[in-house]
Amino acid sequence: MRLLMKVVLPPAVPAAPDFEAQWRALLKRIGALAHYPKEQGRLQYVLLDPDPSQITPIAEAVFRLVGVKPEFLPEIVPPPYYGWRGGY
Amino acid sequence: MTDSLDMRRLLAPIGVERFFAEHWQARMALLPLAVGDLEFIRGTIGPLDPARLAGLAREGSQAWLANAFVSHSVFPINPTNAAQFQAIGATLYFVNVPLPALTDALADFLGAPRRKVLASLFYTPAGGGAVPHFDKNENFTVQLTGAKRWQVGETPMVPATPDSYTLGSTAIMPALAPLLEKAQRPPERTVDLTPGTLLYVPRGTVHHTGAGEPSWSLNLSYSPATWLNLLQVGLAQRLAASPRWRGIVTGAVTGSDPAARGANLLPELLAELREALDDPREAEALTRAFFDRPDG
Repeated sequence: MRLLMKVVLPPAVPAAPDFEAQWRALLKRIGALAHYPKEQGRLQYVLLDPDPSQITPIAEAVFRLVGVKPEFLPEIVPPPYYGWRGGY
Repeated sequence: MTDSLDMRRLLAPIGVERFFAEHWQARMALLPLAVGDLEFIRGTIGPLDPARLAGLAREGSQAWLANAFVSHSVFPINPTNAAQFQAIGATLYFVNVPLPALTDALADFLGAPRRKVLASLFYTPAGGGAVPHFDKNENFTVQLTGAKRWQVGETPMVPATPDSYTLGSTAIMPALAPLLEKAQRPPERTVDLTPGTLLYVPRGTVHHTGAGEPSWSLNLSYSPATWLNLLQVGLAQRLAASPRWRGIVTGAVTGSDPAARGANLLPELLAELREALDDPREAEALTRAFFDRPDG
């Protein structure tokens, strides 16, 4: 099930010198499909496709690194545009 | 052997007349069900199997998860993963499970449109529950298995609320905001629901819940059809049949040309409306138009 994990980082966290490397390592470990940092990295959206049994372990890994609980949101895919024919 | 949901019998400990006089839309009520009534309700629902219920729910199913590491999150679920979410400690919510033997019986008893009364099922894990909130629906909850503790306001915080609200939330619908400003939170009562208890919670009544053990409950909710809705739908249908009512607003304000003011039909139309509303047959037709509407 594809989900977006939303993590609101404390202000000091993204500025820490080794944060970027640790965050990237975590994303790799939890099987992130993509990630979308916003607001100078304070707001992180991570696309995942976990088994339900992995949701809490993933959240725990995030919590242990950055000290905040992530929220999970269903991936929302726009409905098909029926007028689309693949060109203009 | 009980073979139907008889609301008169269910409400017998209070009495139906007293229920409508003192409780309906005004005050919570807690009632014990007869063994036969609980058996009938459970038999009508069938097996409390998450995959099966997820397949039945017409308005989808959700898992709510919040724990030491996960902030409150809502997941859409389906028959293939519902049991997995149950296994990880989520609360499961199956919205609008078709149970006409229960919902139609309640709607007919209340004199409400059948389409407005829905059955939903909740599975709450041990330690699960809901934070203080109120709903926009009139709710009848039947505890099916396990136990759940409710803290319920004695009376609504916002009588006839136009919307649901989670206390402390900054997301407030515009229609609710002025009502919330004046609202006071009434005293609450603690009630322990065990299998075979029925709890009526009027809309706008603050409640929060906690489960000490896994539990299943049935929620029969009347998504309000207001008198205003009835009048809007009934009148719109009746008046839209008239070419005069479908006419264009002309000359209705001072300052318009005197010739245009001559085309102002509003006084005549209002006189026609007053006459129509005085006719009991028209009132019946308005009601029928509203009840026969397939949606909304």
